[in-house]
Amino acid sequence: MAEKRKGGLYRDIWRRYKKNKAAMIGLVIMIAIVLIAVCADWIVPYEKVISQSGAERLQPPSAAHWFGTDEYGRDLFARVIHGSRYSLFIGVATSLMALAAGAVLGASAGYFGGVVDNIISRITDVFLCVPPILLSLAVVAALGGNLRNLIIAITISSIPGNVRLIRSVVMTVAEEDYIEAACSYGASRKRIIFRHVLPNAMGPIIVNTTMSISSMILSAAGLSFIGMGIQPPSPEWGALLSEAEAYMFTAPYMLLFPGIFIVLAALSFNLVGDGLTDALDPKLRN
Amino acid sequence: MQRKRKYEGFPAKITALCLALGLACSVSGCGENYIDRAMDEKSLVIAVEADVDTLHPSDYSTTVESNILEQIYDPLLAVSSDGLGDPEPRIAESYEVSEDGMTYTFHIRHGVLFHDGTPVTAEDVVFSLEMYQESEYQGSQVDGLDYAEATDEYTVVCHMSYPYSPFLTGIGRVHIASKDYWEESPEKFSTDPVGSGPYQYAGRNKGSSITLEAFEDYYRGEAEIQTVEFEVIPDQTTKSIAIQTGEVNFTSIESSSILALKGSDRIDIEEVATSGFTYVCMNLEKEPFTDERVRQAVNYAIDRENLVNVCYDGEAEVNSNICSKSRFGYSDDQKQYDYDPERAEELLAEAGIETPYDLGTMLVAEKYSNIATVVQNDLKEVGLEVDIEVKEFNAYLDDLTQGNYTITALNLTLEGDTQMCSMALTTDYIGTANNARYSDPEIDALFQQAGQTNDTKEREALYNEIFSKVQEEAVYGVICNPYLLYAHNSELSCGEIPFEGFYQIYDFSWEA
Amino acid sequence: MYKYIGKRLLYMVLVLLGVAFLVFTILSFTPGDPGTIILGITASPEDIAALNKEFGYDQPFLIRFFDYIGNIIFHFDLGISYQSRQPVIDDIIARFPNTLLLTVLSMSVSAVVEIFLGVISAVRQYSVLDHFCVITALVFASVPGFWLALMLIMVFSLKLRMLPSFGADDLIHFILPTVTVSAGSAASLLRLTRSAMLETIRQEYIKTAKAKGASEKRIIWKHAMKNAMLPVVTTLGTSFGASLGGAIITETVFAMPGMGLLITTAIRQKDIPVVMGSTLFLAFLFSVIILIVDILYAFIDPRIMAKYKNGGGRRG
Repeated sequence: MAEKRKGGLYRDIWRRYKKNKAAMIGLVIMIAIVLIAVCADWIVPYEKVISQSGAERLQPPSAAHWFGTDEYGRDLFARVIHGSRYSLFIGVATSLMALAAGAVLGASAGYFGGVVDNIISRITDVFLCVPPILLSLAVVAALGGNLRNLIIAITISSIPGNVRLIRSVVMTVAEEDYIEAACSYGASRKRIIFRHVLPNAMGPIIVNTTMSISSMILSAAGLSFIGMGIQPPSPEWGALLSEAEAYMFTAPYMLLFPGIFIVLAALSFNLVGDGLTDALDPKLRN
Repeated sequence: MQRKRKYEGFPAKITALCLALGLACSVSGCGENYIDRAMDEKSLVIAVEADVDTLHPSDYSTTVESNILEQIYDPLLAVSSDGLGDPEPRIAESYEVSEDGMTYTFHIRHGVLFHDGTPVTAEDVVFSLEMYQESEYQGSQVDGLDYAEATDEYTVVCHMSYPYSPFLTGIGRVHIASKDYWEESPEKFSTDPVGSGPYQYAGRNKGSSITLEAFEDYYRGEAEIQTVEFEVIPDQTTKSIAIQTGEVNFTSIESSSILALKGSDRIDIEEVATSGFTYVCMNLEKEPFTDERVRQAVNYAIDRENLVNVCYDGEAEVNSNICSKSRFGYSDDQKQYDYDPERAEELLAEAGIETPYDLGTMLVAEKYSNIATVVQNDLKEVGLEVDIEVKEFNAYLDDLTQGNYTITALNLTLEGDTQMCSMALTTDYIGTANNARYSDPEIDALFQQAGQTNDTKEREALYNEIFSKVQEEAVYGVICNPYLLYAHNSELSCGEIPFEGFYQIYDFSWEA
Repeated sequence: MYKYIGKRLLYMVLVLLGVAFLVFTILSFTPGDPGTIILGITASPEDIAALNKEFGYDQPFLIRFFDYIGNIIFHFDLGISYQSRQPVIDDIIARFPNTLLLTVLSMSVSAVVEIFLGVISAVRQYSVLDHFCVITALVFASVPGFWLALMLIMVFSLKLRMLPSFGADDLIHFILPTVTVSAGSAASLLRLTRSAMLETIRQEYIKTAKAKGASEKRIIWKHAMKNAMLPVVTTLGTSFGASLGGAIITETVFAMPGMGLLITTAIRQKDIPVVMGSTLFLAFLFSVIILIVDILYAFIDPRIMAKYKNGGGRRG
């Protein structure tokens, strides 16, 4: 019986989600970009990402180089395609890590309350008082700019927001009647948190995580832009934009193509997240 | 009830405010004024990439600080940093050097005034020299000086600890400051500078701009351009847009903006030679670079023309010599390495290197990663493989100076006299600027000798010997000397901008 | 109430101490020492050591930290910049007004525009207008700030010559940066307003008001707005923080002498007193704003007060 009801719930969500055309477009773009990232090696070999040719530098888009070439004469199409791996990986990895950390800390704080809540909340407050970008900047400055450190920096700066969100969601859910009921027939705390509280709190958390992927991609790009992110020759999109900035008058296409991809990727996650908000919110059901 | 009204009124008011603001701007036309602001005949706007931290005459460290102080303070003599040409008199009318090179006597010009109206005397000169001696920042400008004394009101005698020929080049960069002013207000000394140069300090907005005004009583005559504003613009692109819109009249720029600016007939570009050199640095204490032939092979393997095109957009002089071509002591007879991959492969074979050979990691700071990328490609062509590891600049410097690397690429400036090249080549500087960790008693001795002779011919011969030997042994893999690039409004005449880009706004003028 | 505020103030001090410790710790991991960074590798080791000593950089970590905190508490002194040798507070006072103005302008613009559009979106849910508003806001939120800034400069400064490309001399210099910063925070406010409004509209009393024959405009802007604004107002504090963050990169592109530019430069130069001072200053400002929002909220929503009286949290 329960299985069937669950299936019905997902079908319900999907039905509502489908109604939202923008969200559907977002989903299609998202899938396309994920496919590009997964199949990058088949689309264009990695060698083209790094192979230089002084004679072919700063060429505008052509049949041979669809997106043109950069200042080293590297093929921009190959760089943008392979760049999707870095950007998506950063977005997804940081969001998931921040979510995991946020879930553990936020759920404990929200559920246990008291001293646990106080300690976690105060530490969270400390982190929340520093603008995230500043925190990331300081961490990158301390550790140095490479993929791993960038991920650490962005994750650290977004954990506190997650803790706070999950804490409040859990607190709301924990006060609902069915949790009280579960408590009263003697279910263990762990079971209550993982079987009852978290699943019911999933809506806002899923939405937040989806949308945070897009803001993480943008943060990473921003850090790369002020020279505190991933360093070339890695074709992360923000690094591509940062290289392109210097040539924006002579080779505007260098700024255009990675820009389009970054906007499309961020937008697709935002659209999906927005679509999910409506689809998952039980209060908005009509 | 009250609260409710607030919610209604709040957005409406703000909207109205925004509309009003927008209207005010378009009606008053302040959108057009700002561009013409800079076009006034008597004023000049210069963009600099960072704010100054101090305007202390001797305790400064950045290029921007140096550029601004240069306009406010005058030196004793104007000495070109390329070591060529005779010193021109400034505050010192004339000078004599004793035969043994142990005393320098400077005769101070009468009637030179500081911006506060007090005259420049020998006391002030002695004070300034002593201030430099104590400075952690610019102390090297007075290397070799034991003490200075004022023998009368207008004569200063400098006593040397040992004969040191580059002393005059250093003197050319010593700013003469007022002793009285320092005693009067030591706090304001570094924030509201009082010099005797063509421009006086007129104020600043922290983080955004510094204003200078022409000094009426300047002894060489009042400057043509009356007010100079230095605007801080850290972003390269914003800077090159500002020069195109005319908001800025003069600025240093990076080579990547050149192509776009060259297309504009309103903007002229000046290329200024510098002593700065971009090079591949090999650690001579590590295999396989202990072998001279491997270092020569690396030198032959680099396609310098291509690198200059790719990394500097062609705005650098190809040169494999650590001494730049316009510097005293350079000669075409000193070996130049040209691009010759076959020769490189032969040399590697001679050295017993079997290609492909793994050189390990090429350490590089983020701002030189573009050079590393190109060099990596060139080395691969001759069978030497490296991985690039990018480090944050300060962490990189630690590894570099302590010799924790095998091969790297960077740019270094050894400003001042040619003698400064000793910093990259003598044993004493291992751990600071001698990053190849090159140690050769013969070179150490030659540099010491060159520093102590005052005879120009003899010094030239000594430097020739040094650079010939260093080039033959391929101590470094020098690639090029990047030009310093300045973009300016084509109606602005900038005279000749001297070596190292020490520009003098005094020589600038607007063409009618 | 006073007890509540008093306790919150005490918390604030503790939180700020935490921020100081956090940032100080992170910075102590940055490579290089101030002496080398300022003087460069061609300087003599003695000069570098002398300079480090002057900065107290030869002391161990904890001593430096407690010295720093002690100076703030007992002398109200944020220290002297390594680079400029001037009091850090002077730098902050010189830069802060620009950042504040930029942040307040951006927040006002985005609040007005987004709340307005959010309400319209909610009222006309699933209409073309709704989709248009939401999608436009999402597109703006998906554009990297620096990219948008460069495009704006290209169009409005270089091509149209309408607006200046850099500086902060008068209000006209703030137009492009304000657009950049407010675009970044556009989507979140609009979406929040929209969902809060949707929730409110469905509630009984709105239906009652409708049934009683009140005009739609009146219902929306008077009754529904008032209630829907509660959650929106509470997030204004957070969105102030977001705008502040957005200002950091924007200031770099527009060469606006504000706190962002100050901090990014100082982080690179390892000018610890400046980074510490300005971060603490921003954190202080931010916590004051959060505190004010919370106190206001406590006034508005009695449930919070009641909960606080019961001991602050729920015990499982």
